[in-house]
Amino acid sequence: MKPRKTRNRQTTYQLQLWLMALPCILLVFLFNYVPMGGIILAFKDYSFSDGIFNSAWIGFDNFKFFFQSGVAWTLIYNTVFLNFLFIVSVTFFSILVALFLNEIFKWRIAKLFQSVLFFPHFISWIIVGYFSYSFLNADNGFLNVVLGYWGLAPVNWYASPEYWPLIMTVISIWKGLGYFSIIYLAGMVSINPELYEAARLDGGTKLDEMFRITLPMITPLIYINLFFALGRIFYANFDFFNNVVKNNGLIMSTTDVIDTYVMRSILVTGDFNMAAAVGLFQGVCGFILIVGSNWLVRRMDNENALF
Amino acid sequence: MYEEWITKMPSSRSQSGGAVTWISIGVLVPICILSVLPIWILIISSVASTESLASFGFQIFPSEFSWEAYRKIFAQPDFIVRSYSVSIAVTVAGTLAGVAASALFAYVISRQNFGGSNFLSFFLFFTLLFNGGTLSSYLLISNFLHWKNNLLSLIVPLLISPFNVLLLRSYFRTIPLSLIESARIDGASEFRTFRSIVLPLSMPAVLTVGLFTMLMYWNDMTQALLYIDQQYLYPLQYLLYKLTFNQSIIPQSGEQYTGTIASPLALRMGMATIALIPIFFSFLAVQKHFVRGIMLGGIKGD
Repeated sequence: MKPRKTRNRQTTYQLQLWLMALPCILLVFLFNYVPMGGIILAFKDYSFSDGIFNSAWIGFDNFKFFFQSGVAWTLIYNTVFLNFLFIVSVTFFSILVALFLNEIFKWRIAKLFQSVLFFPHFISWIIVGYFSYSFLNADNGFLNVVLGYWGLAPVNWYASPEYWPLIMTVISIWKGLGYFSIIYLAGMVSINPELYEAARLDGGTKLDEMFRITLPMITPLIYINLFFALGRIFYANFDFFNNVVKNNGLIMSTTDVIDTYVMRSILVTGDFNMAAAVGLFQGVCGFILIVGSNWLVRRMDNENALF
Repeated sequence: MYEEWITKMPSSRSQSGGAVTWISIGVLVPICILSVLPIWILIISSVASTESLASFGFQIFPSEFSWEAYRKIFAQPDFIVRSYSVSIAVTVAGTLAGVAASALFAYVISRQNFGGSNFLSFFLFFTLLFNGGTLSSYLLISNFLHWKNNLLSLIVPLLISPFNVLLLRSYFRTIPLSLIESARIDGASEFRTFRSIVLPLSMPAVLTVGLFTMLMYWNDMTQALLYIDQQYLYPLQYLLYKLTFNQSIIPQSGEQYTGTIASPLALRMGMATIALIPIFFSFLAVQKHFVRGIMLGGIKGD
């Protein structure tokens, strides 16, 4: 009698757990798994009247068209190149700021600095778009006012694509500095203080401490962050590009990325075939890179791997 | 970890040298000033006069001030109140439902003695590896669910974020299994155990996830861009977005309005300032929890 009763109770508990997980299961199934079926569109010639299932199969024509259009390489290059710039520069400057914050950590002012740098993380990208407009617009933007003050000729930023990788990198740093310096600072302050004591006893300077203790100790953390970011290098931050570039054709040659192209296909041009092909291409590249980067993270530090 | 860091640090490294301290401050002060500069320029330009903006452009101190932009915006504030209400409704509903569904699911997969836990973890985390793309989601929501111009389209698709579930799961796992077992012996159901034991013990993690979710909903604009085209349903961020293309969103209060014309630029900056100020005060209130949350989530946040 007794084991059977226990088993019944076990079944009840199992059932309860499944029920608790159900809302999330349904949501994930509907909004993450069902759309995966939509990748068949990449192999179809979508027509609105026929719908997804009745549109004609056309094999790899969409991909062929996409890669022959000349747009493809620009999009892929811009996405990967700009993301790479963002990742490297944000990481570099966050570590730098964290190193300095670490030196003055016992001071109250360190908390003030940290808050000031962290605030941009809370600001929406649309407001960031307002900032960039107030800095960059040709007639009365702040940068041109400053250039004029120094007696230099104004620059028509919104018509000069060559400046935009730099501009967007600066904005990325501004937005991400506080967030990532907190992560690195947390790594730095958890370093065993005895290491510093020992260095001091051996006559090490502050610079020695920075470069021989602090940096080496947070290197694993840096690598893990870099790998995760690299895993998502094929995904651009749509909000960022949409609000700062605003579909401006004059600077698109250096700022058009996969995500803005897909959204434009959906909302403006209605070219669903291209959007589907590009989306699938991005998904597959993303998949390979995320699995790869996770493998690297797992090799370094099992605990931080995603799966 | 955060508290530990706060309390541990000062005593353990109290000997830092004077020069290095001053160099650090000397480097950080300019960085902080540059960081605040765009925010300052946005706010101060909203009270710059039309002439000042037209002839001198955006300045650190406008040569002439004017409250015209705010007077015009608040002449008929209904449209702002409306958008604020939409944003607040979406944020509150999304945060409550999202945190509830995530926490329940996280609890289930945190139970290592539960048979389905591995499968369910994989089920969720696979979505981080691969997705059907924006187009598929768009077709699903607009053509199959028919959620265009429905606030559900702003809320439901964003409810679950795998990173939040991951954060909650790691936290729940730190609760000793013996506590859960003892609740069972007392005859508590799984839900009861979750609600009365696991949840109260995990408030820091739940609060953190709540804050992350709130910020995500408050700042989201892409969903509205895809699914909302009626102005009475615009969330605040989307209203600001539309304003950059179309000034006429601000009601023109023609006849009764006789003052000088406010600069369109100042108007926009004024609207952005109105959107920014609540964020600033919320930031002051919650930043400490956020910092702790980033520590909790380790490197996997954002």
